[in-house]
Amino acid sequence: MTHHPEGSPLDASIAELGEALRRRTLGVVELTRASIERAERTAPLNAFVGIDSEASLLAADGLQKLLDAGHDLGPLHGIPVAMKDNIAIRGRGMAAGSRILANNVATTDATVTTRLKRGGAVLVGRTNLHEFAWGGTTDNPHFGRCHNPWDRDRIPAGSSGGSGVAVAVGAVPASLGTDTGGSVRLPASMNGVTGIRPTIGRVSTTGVFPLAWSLDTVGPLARSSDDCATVLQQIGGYDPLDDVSREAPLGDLARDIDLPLAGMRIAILRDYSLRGLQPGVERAMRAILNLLRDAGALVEELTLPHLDELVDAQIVIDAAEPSAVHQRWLRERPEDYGRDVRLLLEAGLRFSAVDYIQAQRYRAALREAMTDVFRRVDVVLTPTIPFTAPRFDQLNVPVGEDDTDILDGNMVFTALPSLTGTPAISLPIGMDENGLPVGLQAVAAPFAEHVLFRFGHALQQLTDWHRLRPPLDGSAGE
Amino acid sequence: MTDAAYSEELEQLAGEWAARADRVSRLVGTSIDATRVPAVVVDYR
Repeated sequence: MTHHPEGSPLDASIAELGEALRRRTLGVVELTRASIERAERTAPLNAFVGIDSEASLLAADGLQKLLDAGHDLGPLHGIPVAMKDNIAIRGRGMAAGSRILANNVATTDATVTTRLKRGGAVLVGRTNLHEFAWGGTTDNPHFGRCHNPWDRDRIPAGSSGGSGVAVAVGAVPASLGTDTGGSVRLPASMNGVTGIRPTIGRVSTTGVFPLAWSLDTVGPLARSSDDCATVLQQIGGYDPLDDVSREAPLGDLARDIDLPLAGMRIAILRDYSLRGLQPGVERAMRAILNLLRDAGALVEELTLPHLDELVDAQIVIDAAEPSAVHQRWLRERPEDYGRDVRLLLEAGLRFSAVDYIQAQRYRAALREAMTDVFRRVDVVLTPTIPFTAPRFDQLNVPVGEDDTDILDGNMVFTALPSLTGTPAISLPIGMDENGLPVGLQAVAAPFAEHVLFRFGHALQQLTDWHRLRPPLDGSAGE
Repeated sequence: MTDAAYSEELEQLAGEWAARADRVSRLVGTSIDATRVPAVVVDYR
């Protein structure tokens, strides 16, 4: 682990950068240029599919003039942000990691893009993803493999792998990803950054290429929980263009961050939260639970029924819906998909309507059970994933005496919020014996993102894991 | 990868997923009140 050379503005938090921009000790163009240079310097990791230097420097210049004229657009004014390449930015390419959309240029902005622009964010580039967001390795056959900056022979997770890596190496203070079955939280965990999947309906998905309509969300990745709150504050809220969008007031997402951990009610789930973990992940989890208890949090163990079928139901829905999205292209041009994604899409066509409906009924029952849990506690904790980043050539990961299938392991904890529509944040909580980051998943009640930011802020006051950086010279893993 | 190898892999994955769907259907059929829990997509409105 390392800390980057002092003096780079890219090591600062969004709040610190905002302060420097307003004190004029840093300029928007200077910050944007630093962001582009960092992205170019770390290009071998393949986090970006496009660095939009010209457009972003032009925007930066305009934003500096606005600031100089006294027009302050808010906390993201002048802050570089990277966007997953399945989120539309008008006039820029949006391939969604595919050959099929390789020449697609977005004609309108996604709602989240509009909101970031309105808030003065500088959209410096588009990040690599698993093809059509259907997979967890970001080993993209069309745009190249994205590498984990802690060990380049290992996956950065996915599907928002590029968004995780871009933040981990400090190319941007924040990025946007999409999360259907874990695609924000998994790369947050494996790259050692923070990422939040919001409640379904909290952030508009208008202008985002769909993976699975009933599960899709858009969420930020950043170094800290506080920075994620700043971005979510800007992109969240009702969107009349999105049928799933909810008119729930966003409020001030940072309103509770100064509340202490003492008295916070925290649950782990029996025979689930600590089951089947790699030793390094289990050690980190137990250390954090002890830390929380020492800080006065009330940690209890609760039971949630039928969790053995969680991944099964997730896969039925998470696979059937994309196959409906892609049905026409699968018929007309199947050879244009990468092999792994084509397999997933074609297998997804085999589910029956009854299979899908029963999975949705399981989901409804699980949501009801989770509602009961949140009557008793503020957050539920699990690891984000039972293991740290596997190598690219691994199909299974040894956990204890068993081998865990990577797809299964990817979803075993992330499926709980995905299926129940509840918000979940992934926070860095340690490193394993190979120097790879471990992530904690905290889940809260629907529309209680502010509770997650309270928890995340408090935890990151007590720990420094979110401050660790991979080396920029690519030496990790060599 | 040959067509045969691809087809074999597809059949294997589809088989695994059919077993998963079956597990969910069996659970729902025995443990969830069919009249009470409809198949609703998550909707907090």
